[in-house]
Amino acid sequence: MNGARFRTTRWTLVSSAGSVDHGERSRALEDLCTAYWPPLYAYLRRRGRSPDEASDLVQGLFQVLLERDGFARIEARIGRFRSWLLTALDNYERDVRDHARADRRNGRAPSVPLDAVDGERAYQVAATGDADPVVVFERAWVRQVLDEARAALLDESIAKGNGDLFRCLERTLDAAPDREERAALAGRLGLSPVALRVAIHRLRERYRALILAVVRETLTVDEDPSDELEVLLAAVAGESTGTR
Amino acid sequence: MTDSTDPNVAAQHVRAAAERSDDARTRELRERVAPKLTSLELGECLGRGGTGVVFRARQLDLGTDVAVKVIAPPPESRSAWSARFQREARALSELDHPGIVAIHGFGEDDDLAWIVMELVDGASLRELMDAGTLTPEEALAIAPELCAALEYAHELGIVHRDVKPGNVLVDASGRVKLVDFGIAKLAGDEASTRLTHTHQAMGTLRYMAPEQLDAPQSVDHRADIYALGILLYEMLTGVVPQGVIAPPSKRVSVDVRLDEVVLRSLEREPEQRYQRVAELAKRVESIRGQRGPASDIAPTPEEIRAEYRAGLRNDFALVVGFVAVTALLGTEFAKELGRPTPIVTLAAVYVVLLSLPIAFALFRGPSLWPIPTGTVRLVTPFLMFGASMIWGRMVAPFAFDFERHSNGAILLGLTSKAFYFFMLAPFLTAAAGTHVARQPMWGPAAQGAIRWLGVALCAFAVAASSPSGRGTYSWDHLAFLGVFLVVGIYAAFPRDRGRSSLGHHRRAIAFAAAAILGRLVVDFPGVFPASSESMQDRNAASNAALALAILGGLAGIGSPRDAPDPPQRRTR
Repeated sequence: MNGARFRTTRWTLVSSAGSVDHGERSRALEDLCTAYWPPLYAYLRRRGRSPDEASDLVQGLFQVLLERDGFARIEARIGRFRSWLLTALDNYERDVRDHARADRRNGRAPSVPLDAVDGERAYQVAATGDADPVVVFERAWVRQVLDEARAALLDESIAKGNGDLFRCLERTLDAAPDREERAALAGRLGLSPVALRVAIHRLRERYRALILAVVRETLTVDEDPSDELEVLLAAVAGESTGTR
Repeated sequence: MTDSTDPNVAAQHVRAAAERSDDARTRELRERVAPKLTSLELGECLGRGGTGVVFRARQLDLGTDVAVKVIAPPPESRSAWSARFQREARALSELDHPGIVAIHGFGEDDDLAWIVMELVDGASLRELMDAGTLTPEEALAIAPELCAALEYAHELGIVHRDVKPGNVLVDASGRVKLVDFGIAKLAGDEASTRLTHTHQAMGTLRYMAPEQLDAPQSVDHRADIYALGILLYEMLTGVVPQGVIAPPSKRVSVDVRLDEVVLRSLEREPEQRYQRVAELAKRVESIRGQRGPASDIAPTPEEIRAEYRAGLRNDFALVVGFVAVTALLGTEFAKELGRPTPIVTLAAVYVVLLSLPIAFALFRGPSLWPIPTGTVRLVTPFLMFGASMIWGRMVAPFAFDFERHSNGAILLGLTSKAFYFFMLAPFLTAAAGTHVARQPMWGPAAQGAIRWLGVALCAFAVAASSPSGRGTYSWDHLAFLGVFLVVGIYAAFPRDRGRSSLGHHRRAIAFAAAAILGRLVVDFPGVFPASSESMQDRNAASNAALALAILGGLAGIGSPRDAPDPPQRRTR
């Protein structure tokens, strides 16, 4: 419960223009951008941009967004953060082309630190088959959501003094442990076999609750997270069945 | 941090996250109930069921977390529902046991009802089993705690009526907590009987006792025992039994003794089941205790082989010992009687004494050592039979011959072919009986049929040994036939409808002993003059004694090596 409430208002904070202090709003947007730039990068790469071009465009977009009036200049309708961000990128790209300029060359320091290696990895993972750029963007987004949730899970575990438990059991989130693995884990953690099963289940449940929380913080208050999750699910589900 | 790149894993997590978000009904209930529970702050939804929605909640004054079950009552027959809810909640609040989720309070207003209860931060058994079949060790760790909780409720006259994996919670330390005595009724409460009548068969179908489907109003605590049996079966095998129930050990590698526990809990007739949860728990604990909580109760192949070898050794020793004693006794008798045909006595005594190991083979299973697999159990009697034949042939070469008197009467009573046949018959019967007992699909009727077949074969053996030379039966022969008849009927009508208990083992030993004693009395010098007629009587008696011993064995067919606890009548 406590965790499910965390940071739920970030996108709401950003999108509710006017009512919030600019600094606060800008920090929230910066957080979101820092977390979700790899999907944008993968999207641009899929559209044929070189790694350098993709980095420059993402960087430039964030600089504009974080300017005092940049947010308004982007002219994207406020909805869920994911769609808004993609529209913002498209608009910015068009803007750059029309005005033949790149904010990066203004000589300002990048406002959001981007590591192109992370971007490339996101691209490699998401750009399987002949998926179109938007699908690649969505797939990369799902990975980002999962990573965010897992980072939150780690933070939360450490805060509760369960850091060791998390490190031992983290692998079970990706694959159910077999019997030998469970016996080894139970021995290492000093848990009964049944208690270990419960611990694995709890961690998994908590992870999923945090996924929901992470998704929720990219939505406005009145949006239903299950709709957004449906979109994300469709993106990864298609990946595992069809276009691989 | 490892990123989950596998799309299947990613999809699984996303789907599960989506299921966690409130659906329309949950959202609606949440909005409706929140203003009524001002001392609570509602959190995430923990579960949705047919009866209601469970939320996590924080008690604002105490700062502790609880679970709140919110129920939207059906609009029709509201006052009856209300009475039922009040009673249900009160019944639950009466329960104070570490294995039962405590209720902190309950309430109701015009359109909603709620129960505030202890929050179990863990998982339901349903969730644990969905994540992978439990090991027998885990199943046997959970079962006793569950039994203790149910026994406690039953003591108070409260029947759960909906025992299923979703209602068994396990907390972080692995302790079991039973939740949702949702359709519990207070035993003996007339109103409750009337009321639940309209909500017949409300438990989850697959875990429901047959009588709960047929006559829900007359259900007692033994319905919970049935559900417990299903639960145990599912925990051990990973599947819910349906239709013809195969013993768990047929599906997975578990202690065969658990078959008996599970199958007895799943008897169709409540009278045939364990009568108290405590009995079931005792059996589970004893099976579990013998191997220690840390070791898996399923034997390894090496253990099975070791036990099998030990069993063979014992069988072999038994046969050799008895054949040796027989040969010795036979020779002594022949000397004492000083008759020209010592073979007859020798053979007769041999036959009688051989019946003892036969009886052992039959009532004890294959060997003196418990052997966990059915195959071995069937094979060993045959091995034993073959060994005893060969050995007997070596020690007493004449034992299987017959002698024809000058007037044409057969002195041994049976021809050699018939003799072989009748030696084989009890083994075939025993094998069939053992098979039938191990395959509950045959049921008590088949076991009964096999027993009667054995009785008929023995009767035929006795009849065939009638003194053909004289044309009439002597009193001792008739007496033996009479005893045989009584014993036969007794053997064919075992107690507990095909289920043997400790009594059968003792009975089998007693029969075998009686057979030998009878033969010795007949043979005692001076009881019968040494004439061909008395020899015929003696032979007839021998065969009858053999039949008795065989019957002793038949009476033990299907006896599990550990006798179940004799059924206890309810004290209340």
